[in-house]
Amino acid sequence: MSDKSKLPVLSVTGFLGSGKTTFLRNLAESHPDWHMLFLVNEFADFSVDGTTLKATGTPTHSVVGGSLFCECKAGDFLRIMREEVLPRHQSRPLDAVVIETSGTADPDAIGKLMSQHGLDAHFELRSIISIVAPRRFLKLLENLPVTGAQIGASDLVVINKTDTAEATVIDVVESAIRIRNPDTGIIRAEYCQIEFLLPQQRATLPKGRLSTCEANAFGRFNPEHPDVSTHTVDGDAERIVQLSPGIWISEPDIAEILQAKAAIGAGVQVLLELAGMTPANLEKVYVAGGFGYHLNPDHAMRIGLLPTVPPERMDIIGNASLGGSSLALQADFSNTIQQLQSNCRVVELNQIASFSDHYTDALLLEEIE
Amino acid sequence: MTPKERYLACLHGEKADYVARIPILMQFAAEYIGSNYGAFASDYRVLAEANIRCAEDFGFDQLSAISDPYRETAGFGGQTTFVENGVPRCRGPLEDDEEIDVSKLSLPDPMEAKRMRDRIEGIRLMRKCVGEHYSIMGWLEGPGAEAADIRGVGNFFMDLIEDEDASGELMDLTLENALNFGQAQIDAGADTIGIGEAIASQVSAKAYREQILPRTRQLVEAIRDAGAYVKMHICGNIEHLLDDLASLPLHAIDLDHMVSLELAREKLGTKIAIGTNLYPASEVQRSDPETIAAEVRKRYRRLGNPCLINAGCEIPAGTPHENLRALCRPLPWEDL
Repeated sequence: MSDKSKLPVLSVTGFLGSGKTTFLRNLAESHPDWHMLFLVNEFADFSVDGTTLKATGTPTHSVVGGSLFCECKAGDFLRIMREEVLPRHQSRPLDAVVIETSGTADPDAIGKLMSQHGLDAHFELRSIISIVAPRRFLKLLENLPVTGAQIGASDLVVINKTDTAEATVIDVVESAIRIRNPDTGIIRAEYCQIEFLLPQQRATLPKGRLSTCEANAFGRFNPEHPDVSTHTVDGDAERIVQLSPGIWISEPDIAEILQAKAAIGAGVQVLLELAGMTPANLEKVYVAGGFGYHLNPDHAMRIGLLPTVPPERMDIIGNASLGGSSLALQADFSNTIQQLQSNCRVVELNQIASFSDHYTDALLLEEIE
Repeated sequence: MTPKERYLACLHGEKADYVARIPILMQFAAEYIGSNYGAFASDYRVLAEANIRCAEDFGFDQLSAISDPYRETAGFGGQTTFVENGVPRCRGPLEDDEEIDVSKLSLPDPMEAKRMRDRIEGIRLMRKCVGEHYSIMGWLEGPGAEAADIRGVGNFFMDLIEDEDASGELMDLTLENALNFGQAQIDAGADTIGIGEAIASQVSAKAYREQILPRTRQLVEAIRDAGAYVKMHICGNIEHLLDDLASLPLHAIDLDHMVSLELAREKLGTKIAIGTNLYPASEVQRSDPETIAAEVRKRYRRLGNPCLINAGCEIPAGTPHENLRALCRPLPWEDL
């Protein structure tokens, strides 16, 4: 839970040449109304990035000669946070401190340093953004452990410079990122041009809150719940749950989700039925594809989109067709492929009598049993 | 026992009166004698006085010539700026180049290069002042760390990955310099040489094993052959490197606070003295004397001998004096 009384700190990380400084420069130029302060961590005595960013008009401090991966070299960072950033914030409140770290920075170091040195009374690390250049990313991931740690800690990864790499490479990079951090947001960009909101401006999805709205199995909100209000569209009143100003989810939205999930859930039911199995018999559930990437498996099971299995039996494998093609090119899997092919059977759901019954049943918000 | 006798006994896992204390001090020591970090890094007299007075007042067993990572980089032509309250700034001489061109660099003469000579003078002065009462540790950058300082850290990582021949050529040069610098410090009176190889924690075990480790082995063996003891210091998490580090003939190693002591002892065995790795900020600077003393005792018992008392890295400036005294409070040696 974030503390709104504390100044948000954003950490922008990424290897040399990935586009961190461009990201910060775009941020300053796109949002002149945001009152930010940039803090640039560099090794050298001459702050190239710091000089570039100062030209945007955003106050910029350079932490040179050290790296935030080591406590013994973090003195400058701590001093600047105490003696420069905090007084500035107290005289005129800042919207955010944005720290451009070196490519080797431990992603957890900033939060730990602030906590260990008492700065967490004033600052809160709210977001870690990794900028990735696809051409070198996989090599860095293999050779520099910190690269994987940065991805793992990020809530947003920008795959930048997509104009410099082939689409298949970018897909593989995205898969590698997703494997290390299934929950992070991923954006592809050229020249780090992305729409970006500060943490306090983002819509916060009410995790766990929808259930407290007491939506029933039919997807209807409890009108008595304090988060539920009424919105009128074309003269029709809809019950909604407001997520943030201008953004809400309505009962008709829930109905559409139910229809989509019912089709998938009913398909799963039919397959289980034909195989004479229940979810308890499933040794593994593989979820492939881009949609699957973004699923929260626990939530998907709770609404009946996926069969309910223990978490260790659920594998989100991402772009399976690309991964499979890649494997097939690397070694001779012809026997395995033929074996899999001979075991597969196509089931036309619309020709299965029980599908429509399952579909109707699956229109309810409940798990597949 | 004299502090040096205590240190040597503990280094070898032999019986001592107390467990030797060897905390790393830089800015703290400078400020303790009323000076500043800039002077500590640039004037050997400040370095020597700060070390001797801190050793006497806080009760530790080794003086040190550590100050910052850029003395050798300056010797290779890096431009240094000293700042009062921070690590000196130094831009590596190959930092702006697209590729490594080792022919642009000249091997420094440790007695001619100003900042390298300053460290040597510091060791000579400390030895002159304390005789054989204290151990004195010289300091140098390992082949990988120095190459990264010359080339720029980000550039050097890419060199390691994409151009092994060029990065290897640069590390051959930094190794040669380290051999010369180490010998000069031993000649000046250092009985121990500390090797700073901060960059190692940031690379994969494979890259470390194939590119940095062989050169480090040459360096460690040469220091031993010259009659000095060797301590390795790597900032950051090195759990993935412990198997390889175990293959080096080291006498001692510092572990940063996040490294498991049990894992380190298991992998490194009982031939290498391991430092108690208290977290410098939370477990020394911001703790209290009794908690610190208890934590030191606890870690000593977890580690067993051979063991040396220190924090995972530098004692931060501004650490309460009573906290450093607690870290160095005499802890009876036990037959662990």
